[in-house]
Amino acid sequence: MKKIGLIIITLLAGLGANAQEDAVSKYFSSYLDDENFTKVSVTSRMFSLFTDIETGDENEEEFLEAISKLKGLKVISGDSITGGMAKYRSALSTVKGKGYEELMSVRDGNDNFEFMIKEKDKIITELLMIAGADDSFHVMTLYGEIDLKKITSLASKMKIDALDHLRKLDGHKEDGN
Amino acid sequence: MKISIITILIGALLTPMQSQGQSDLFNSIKKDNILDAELYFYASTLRMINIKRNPGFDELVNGIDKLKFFKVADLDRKEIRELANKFYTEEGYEEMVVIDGKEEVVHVMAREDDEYIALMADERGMIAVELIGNIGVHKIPELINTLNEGDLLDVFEVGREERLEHARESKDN
Repeated sequence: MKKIGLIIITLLAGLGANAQEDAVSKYFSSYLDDENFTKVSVTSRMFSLFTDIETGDENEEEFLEAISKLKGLKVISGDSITGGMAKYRSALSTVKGKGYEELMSVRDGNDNFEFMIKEKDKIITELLMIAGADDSFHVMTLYGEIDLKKITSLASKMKIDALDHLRKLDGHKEDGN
Repeated sequence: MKISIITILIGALLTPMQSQGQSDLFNSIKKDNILDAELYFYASTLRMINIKRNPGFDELVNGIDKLKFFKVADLDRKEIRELANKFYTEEGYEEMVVIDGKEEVVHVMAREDDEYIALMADERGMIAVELIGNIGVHKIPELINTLNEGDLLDVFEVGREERLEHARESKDN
Protein backbone atom coordinates (compact mmCIF):
# COMPACT_ATOMS: atom_id res chain seq x y z
CA MET A 1 0.00 0.00 0.00
CA LYS A 2 2.79 2.37 0.98
CA LYS A 3 4.59 1.49 -2.26
CA ILE A 4 1.51 2.35 -4.34
CA GLY A 5 1.28 5.68 -2.50
CA LEU A 6 4.91 6.45 -3.34
CA ILE A 7 4.34 5.60 -6.99
CA ILE A 8 1.28 7.88 -7.14
CA ILE A 9 3.20 10.72 -5.46
CA THR A 10 6.09 10.26 -7.88
CA LEU A 11 3.74 10.29 -10.87
CA LEU A 12 1.93 13.37 -9.62
CA ALA A 13 5.23 15.14 -8.98
CA GLY A 14 6.25 14.34 -12.54
CA LEU A 15 2.97 15.63 -13.89
CA GLY A 16 3.38 18.79 -11.83
CA ALA A 17 6.82 19.41 -13.27
CA ASN A 18 5.50 18.86 -16.79
CA ALA A 19 2.64 21.26 -16.16
CA GLN A 20 5.13 23.96 -15.15
CA GLU A 21 7.28 23.40 -18.21
CA ASP A 22 4.18 23.41 -20.39
CA ALA A 23 3.08 26.77 -19.02
CA VAL A 24 6.31 28.40 -20.18
CA SER A 25 6.41 26.42 -23.45
CA LYS A 26 2.85 27.42 -24.28
CA TYR A 27 3.73 31.03 -23.57
CA PHE A 28 6.58 30.84 -26.08
CA SER A 29 4.37 29.03 -28.61
CA SER A 30 1.83 31.83 -28.48
CA TYR A 31 4.44 34.18 -29.98
CA LEU A 32 5.62 31.74 -32.65
CA ASP A 33 3.91 33.49 -35.57
CA ASP A 34 4.10 37.04 -34.25
CA GLU A 35 6.53 38.80 -36.57
CA ASN A 36 6.93 41.72 -34.18
CA PHE A 37 8.99 39.50 -31.91
CA THR A 38 12.31 37.78 -32.41
CA LYS A 39 12.26 34.21 -31.14
CA VAL A 40 15.45 32.34 -30.28
CA SER A 41 15.70 28.70 -29.32
CA VAL A 42 18.92 26.87 -28.48
CA THR A 43 18.62 23.15 -27.73
CA SER A 44 20.71 20.73 -25.71
CA ARG A 45 22.18 19.47 -29.00
CA MET A 46 23.92 22.82 -29.36
CA PHE A 47 25.17 22.89 -25.79
CA SER A 48 26.49 19.35 -26.18
CA LEU A 49 29.10 20.74 -28.58
CA PHE A 50 30.76 22.37 -25.60
CA THR A 51 31.36 19.17 -23.62
CA ASP A 52 34.58 17.21 -23.44
CA ILE A 53 36.77 20.01 -24.78
CA GLU A 54 40.08 20.71 -23.09
CA THR A 55 41.74 23.93 -24.08
CA GLY A 56 44.29 24.62 -21.33
CA ASP A 57 43.15 28.24 -21.25
CA GLU A 58 41.59 29.26 -17.91
CA ASN A 59 39.05 31.67 -19.43
CA GLU A 60 37.94 29.19 -22.07
CA GLU A 61 37.68 26.38 -19.50
CA GLU A 62 35.41 28.58 -17.37
CA PHE A 63 33.24 29.34 -20.39
CA LEU A 64 33.02 25.68 -21.38
CA GLU A 65 32.21 24.55 -17.85
CA ALA A 66 29.38 27.07 -17.55
CA ILE A 67 27.83 26.33 -20.89
CA SER A 68 28.24 22.55 -21.10
CA LYS A 69 25.77 21.96 -18.26
CA LEU A 70 23.00 23.93 -19.93
CA LYS A 71 20.11 22.12 -21.59
CA GLY A 72 18.29 24.86 -23.42
CA LEU A 73 17.64 28.53 -23.96
CA LYS A 74 14.52 30.25 -25.26
CA VAL A 75 14.09 33.96 -25.87
CA ILE A 76 11.21 36.15 -27.01
CA SER A 77 12.28 39.70 -27.74
CA GLY A 78 10.29 42.65 -29.00
CA ASP A 79 11.41 46.26 -29.36
CA SER A 80 9.39 49.18 -30.72
CA ILE A 81 6.15 47.44 -29.83
CA THR A 82 3.00 48.70 -28.18
CA GLY A 83 1.70 47.50 -24.82
CA GLY A 84 5.06 46.30 -23.52
CA MET A 85 4.14 46.84 -19.88
CA ALA A 86 0.82 45.01 -20.25
CA LYS A 87 2.68 42.03 -21.73
CA TYR A 88 5.21 42.23 -18.89
CA ARG A 89 2.47 42.12 -16.25
CA SER A 90 0.66 39.33 -18.10
CA ALA A 91 3.84 37.25 -18.25
CA LEU A 92 4.46 37.72 -14.53
CA SER A 93 0.90 36.65 -13.87
CA THR A 94 1.32 33.56 -16.11
CA VAL A 95 4.35 32.23 -14.22
CA LYS A 96 3.00 33.07 -10.77
CA GLY A 97 2.41 29.91 -8.77
CA LYS A 98 4.39 27.79 -11.22
CA GLY A 99 7.20 27.04 -8.80
CA TYR A 100 9.51 29.98 -9.49
CA GLU A 101 11.35 31.74 -6.70
CA GLU A 102 11.89 35.46 -7.12
CA LEU A 103 15.58 36.21 -7.38
CA MET A 104 15.77 39.90 -8.14
CA SER A 105 13.70 42.80 -9.44
CA VAL A 106 15.37 45.70 -11.21
CA ARG A 107 13.93 49.00 -12.34
CA ASP A 108 16.34 50.79 -14.65
CA GLY A 109 14.77 53.97 -15.99
CA ASN A 110 11.64 52.83 -17.81
CA ASP A 111 12.84 49.22 -18.01
CA ASN A 112 11.63 46.61 -15.57
CA PHE A 113 13.40 43.30 -15.04
CA GLU A 114 12.27 40.32 -13.02
CA PHE A 115 14.65 37.42 -12.48
CA MET A 116 13.30 34.13 -11.15
CA ILE A 117 14.78 30.70 -10.57
CA LYS A 118 13.70 27.15 -10.03
CA GLU A 119 15.79 24.96 -7.78
CA LYS A 120 15.98 21.21 -7.30
CA ASP A 121 18.21 19.67 -4.66
CA LYS A 122 19.87 23.07 -4.15
CA ILE A 123 20.84 23.23 -7.80
CA ILE A 124 19.37 25.98 -9.95
CA THR A 125 17.61 24.26 -12.84
CA GLU A 126 16.06 27.28 -14.55
CA LEU A 127 16.69 31.00 -14.76
CA LEU A 128 13.74 33.01 -16.03
CA MET A 129 14.00 36.68 -16.93
CA ILE A 130 10.98 38.80 -17.82
CA ALA A 131 11.63 42.38 -18.91
CA GLY A 132 9.28 45.07 -20.03
CA ALA A 133 8.93 48.76 -20.77
CA ASP A 134 6.26 50.78 -22.57
CA ASP A 135 7.68 49.88 -25.97
CA SER A 136 9.53 46.62 -25.34
CA PHE A 137 9.02 43.15 -23.92
CA HIS A 138 11.52 40.32 -23.46
CA VAL A 139 11.35 36.85 -21.92
CA MET A 140 14.32 34.54 -21.55
CA THR A 141 14.44 31.11 -19.98
CA LEU A 142 17.71 29.26 -19.50
CA TYR A 143 17.54 25.73 -18.19
CA GLY A 144 19.87 22.92 -17.22
CA GLU A 145 22.35 23.06 -14.36
CA ILE A 146 22.98 26.71 -13.76
CA ASP A 147 25.83 28.32 -11.86
CA LEU A 148 24.72 31.94 -11.56
CA LYS A 149 28.21 33.33 -11.04
CA LYS A 150 29.55 31.58 -14.12
CA ILE A 151 26.49 32.52 -16.20
CA THR A 152 26.89 36.16 -15.16
CA SER A 153 30.54 36.07 -16.18
CA LEU A 154 29.60 34.34 -19.43
CA ALA A 155 26.88 36.90 -20.19
CA SER A 156 29.39 39.66 -19.73
CA LYS A 157 31.86 38.02 -22.12
CA MET A 158 29.10 37.38 -24.66
CA LYS A 159 27.88 40.99 -24.32
CA ILE A 160 24.38 39.96 -23.24
CA ASP A 161 23.42 43.29 -21.69
CA ALA A 162 20.10 42.21 -20.14
CA LEU A 163 21.85 39.65 -17.95
CA ASP A 164 24.33 42.25 -16.73
CA HIS A 165 21.88 43.01 -13.93
CA LEU A 166 22.76 39.63 -12.43
CA ARG A 167 26.02 41.20 -11.32
CA LYS A 168 23.97 42.95 -8.66
CA LEU A 169 23.48 39.56 -7.02
CA ASP A 170 27.10 39.42 -5.88
CA GLY A 171 27.09 39.28 -2.11
CA HIS A 172 23.31 38.89 -1.90
CA LYS A 173 22.73 35.28 -2.89
CA GLU A 174 25.07 32.38 -3.42
CA ASP A 175 24.64 30.33 -6.54
CA GLY A 176 23.07 26.96 -6.31
CA ASN A 177 26.20 24.87 -6.71
CA MET B 1 25.50 44.03 -35.43
CA LYS B 2 25.90 41.31 -32.81
CA ILE B 3 23.40 39.06 -34.60
CA SER B 4 25.16 39.63 -37.91
CA ILE B 5 28.48 38.50 -36.46
CA ILE B 6 26.81 35.45 -34.93
CA THR B 7 25.20 34.70 -38.30
CA ILE B 8 28.56 34.97 -40.04
CA LEU B 9 30.08 32.65 -37.44
CA ILE B 10 27.28 30.13 -37.73
CA GLY B 11 27.32 30.31 -41.48
CA ALA B 12 31.02 30.26 -41.96
CA LEU B 13 31.77 27.76 -39.24
CA LEU B 14 28.83 25.48 -38.71
CA THR B 15 29.16 23.82 -42.04
CA PRO B 16 31.71 20.97 -41.87
CA MET B 17 30.94 17.91 -43.95
CA GLN B 18 32.40 14.92 -45.73
CA SER B 19 31.34 13.84 -49.16
CA GLN B 20 29.70 10.69 -47.78
CA GLY B 21 27.72 12.78 -45.32
CA GLN B 22 25.92 14.86 -47.88
CA SER B 23 22.23 15.33 -47.36
CA ASP B 24 19.92 14.28 -50.20
CA LEU B 25 17.47 16.98 -49.25
CA PHE B 26 20.23 19.60 -49.24
CA ASN B 27 21.29 18.50 -52.71
CA SER B 28 17.72 18.68 -53.98
CA ILE B 29 17.41 22.25 -52.68
CA LYS B 30 20.60 23.05 -54.54
CA LYS B 31 19.32 21.49 -57.75
CA ASP B 32 15.95 23.24 -57.75
CA ASN B 33 16.62 26.58 -56.12
CA ILE B 34 20.23 27.60 -56.57
CA LEU B 35 20.68 31.28 -57.45
CA ASP B 36 24.42 31.50 -57.11
CA ALA B 37 27.26 29.05 -57.58
CA GLU B 38 27.98 26.58 -54.83
CA LEU B 39 31.07 27.52 -52.82
CA TYR B 40 33.29 24.90 -51.22
CA PHE B 41 35.69 25.64 -48.40
CA TYR B 42 38.18 23.63 -46.45
CA ALA B 43 39.94 24.76 -43.27
CA SER B 44 42.82 26.07 -45.36
CA THR B 45 40.60 28.18 -47.60
CA LEU B 46 38.43 29.33 -44.70
CA ARG B 47 41.54 30.76 -43.09
CA MET B 48 41.98 32.87 -46.20
CA ILE B 49 38.73 34.77 -45.65
CA ASN B 50 40.13 35.85 -42.27
CA ILE B 51 41.62 38.98 -43.83
CA LYS B 52 42.41 40.64 -40.49
CA ARG B 53 44.28 37.51 -39.37
CA ASN B 54 42.23 36.99 -36.20
CA PRO B 55 43.93 34.00 -34.50
CA GLY B 56 40.69 32.93 -32.79
CA PHE B 57 38.98 32.52 -36.15
CA ASP B 58 41.70 30.21 -37.42
CA GLU B 59 41.29 28.02 -34.33
CA LEU B 60 37.54 28.05 -34.86
CA VAL B 61 37.81 26.60 -38.37
CA ASN B 62 40.79 24.26 -38.02
CA GLY B 63 38.60 21.19 -37.42
CA ILE B 64 36.34 21.80 -40.38
CA ASP B 65 36.71 19.16 -43.10
CA LYS B 66 34.43 20.75 -45.64
CA LEU B 67 31.99 23.59 -45.86
CA LYS B 68 29.75 24.41 -48.76
CA PHE B 69 27.11 27.04 -49.26
CA PHE B 70 25.06 28.73 -51.92
CA LYS B 71 22.34 31.30 -52.29
CA VAL B 72 18.88 29.96 -52.92
CA ALA B 73 15.57 31.50 -53.95
CA ASP B 74 13.97 33.39 -51.06
CA LEU B 75 11.51 31.55 -48.85
CA ASP B 76 9.33 33.16 -46.22
CA ARG B 77 9.75 32.26 -42.55
CA LYS B 78 7.01 29.61 -42.62
CA GLU B 79 8.49 27.95 -45.69
CA ILE B 80 11.93 27.94 -44.06
CA ARG B 81 10.42 26.36 -40.95
CA GLU B 82 8.70 23.71 -43.07
CA LEU B 83 11.97 23.02 -44.87
CA ALA B 84 13.80 22.67 -41.54
CA ASN B 85 11.11 20.24 -40.37
CA LYS B 86 11.76 18.10 -43.45
CA PHE B 87 15.40 17.78 -42.42
CA TYR B 88 14.27 16.63 -38.96
CA THR B 89 11.65 14.14 -40.10
CA GLU B 90 13.17 12.83 -43.31
CA GLU B 91 16.89 12.89 -42.64
CA GLY B 92 17.30 12.60 -38.89
CA TYR B 93 18.73 16.03 -38.17
CA GLU B 94 18.26 17.56 -34.73
CA GLU B 95 17.46 21.20 -34.08
CA MET B 96 20.33 23.16 -32.57
CA VAL B 97 19.55 26.86 -32.93
CA VAL B 98 16.56 28.73 -34.31
CA ILE B 99 16.50 32.52 -34.61
CA ASP B 100 13.23 33.80 -36.02
CA GLY B 101 13.36 37.57 -36.11
CA LYS B 102 12.11 40.56 -38.04
CA GLU B 103 15.40 40.97 -39.86
CA GLU B 104 16.65 37.43 -40.16
CA VAL B 105 15.71 33.79 -39.85
CA VAL B 106 18.31 31.16 -38.97
CA HIS B 107 17.87 27.41 -38.51
CA VAL B 108 20.91 25.35 -37.54
CA MET B 109 20.70 21.58 -37.19
CA ALA B 110 23.01 18.63 -36.72
CA ARG B 111 23.24 14.93 -37.49
CA GLU B 112 25.78 12.46 -36.10
CA ASP B 113 28.79 14.12 -34.51
CA ASP B 114 29.96 16.22 -37.39
CA GLU B 115 27.26 16.99 -39.93
CA TYR B 116 25.58 20.37 -39.79
CA ILE B 117 23.12 22.29 -41.93
CA ALA B 118 22.16 25.94 -41.63
CA LEU B 119 19.38 27.77 -43.45
CA MET B 120 19.75 31.53 -43.11
CA ALA B 121 17.73 34.39 -44.56
CA ASP B 122 18.03 38.13 -44.14
CA GLU B 123 17.45 41.23 -46.27
CA ARG B 124 20.30 40.12 -48.58
CA GLY B 125 18.63 36.82 -49.42
CA MET B 126 18.75 33.23 -48.30
CA ILE B 127 21.79 31.01 -47.88
CA ALA B 128 21.92 27.26 -47.38
CA VAL B 129 25.02 25.89 -45.67
CA GLU B 130 26.27 22.35 -45.19
CA LEU B 131 29.30 21.59 -43.04
CA ILE B 132 31.24 18.48 -42.07
CA GLY B 133 33.79 18.54 -39.32
CA ASN B 134 34.24 20.11 -35.93
CA ILE B 135 34.10 23.70 -34.85
CA GLY B 136 36.30 25.28 -32.20
CA VAL B 137 33.29 26.47 -30.22
CA HIS B 138 35.45 27.51 -27.26
CA LYS B 139 36.62 30.45 -29.40
CA ILE B 140 33.15 31.95 -29.81
CA PRO B 141 33.25 34.35 -26.79
CA GLU B 142 36.66 35.62 -27.87
CA LEU B 143 35.43 36.15 -31.43
CA ILE B 144 32.31 37.98 -30.32
CA ASN B 145 34.62 40.41 -28.56
CA THR B 146 37.28 40.73 -31.22
CA LEU B 147 35.63 40.14 -34.57
CA ASN B 148 34.22 43.19 -36.32
CA GLU B 149 32.17 43.78 -39.43
CA GLY B 150 34.56 43.63 -42.39
CA ASP B 151 37.12 41.38 -40.68
CA LEU B 152 35.98 38.47 -42.82
CA LEU B 153 35.91 38.49 -46.58
CA ASP B 154 32.40 38.45 -48.03
CA VAL B 155 32.89 35.44 -50.27
CA PHE B 156 29.66 36.04 -52.13
CA GLU B 157 31.02 39.31 -53.48
CA VAL B 158 34.24 37.78 -54.82
CA GLY B 159 33.79 36.92 -58.49
CA ARG B 160 30.02 37.21 -58.03
CA GLU B 161 29.20 38.17 -61.60
CA GLU B 162 31.29 35.36 -63.05
CA ARG B 163 29.72 32.82 -60.73
CA LEU B 164 26.20 34.02 -61.51
CA GLU B 165 26.93 33.60 -65.18
CA HIS B 166 28.28 30.10 -64.56
CA ALA B 167 25.21 29.17 -62.49
CA ARG B 168 22.88 30.41 -65.23
CA GLU B 169 24.73 28.35 -67.81
CA SER B 170 24.62 25.24 -65.63
CA LYS B 171 20.90 25.62 -65.07
CA ASP B 172 20.23 26.08 -68.79
CA ASN B 173 22.12 22.89 -69.52
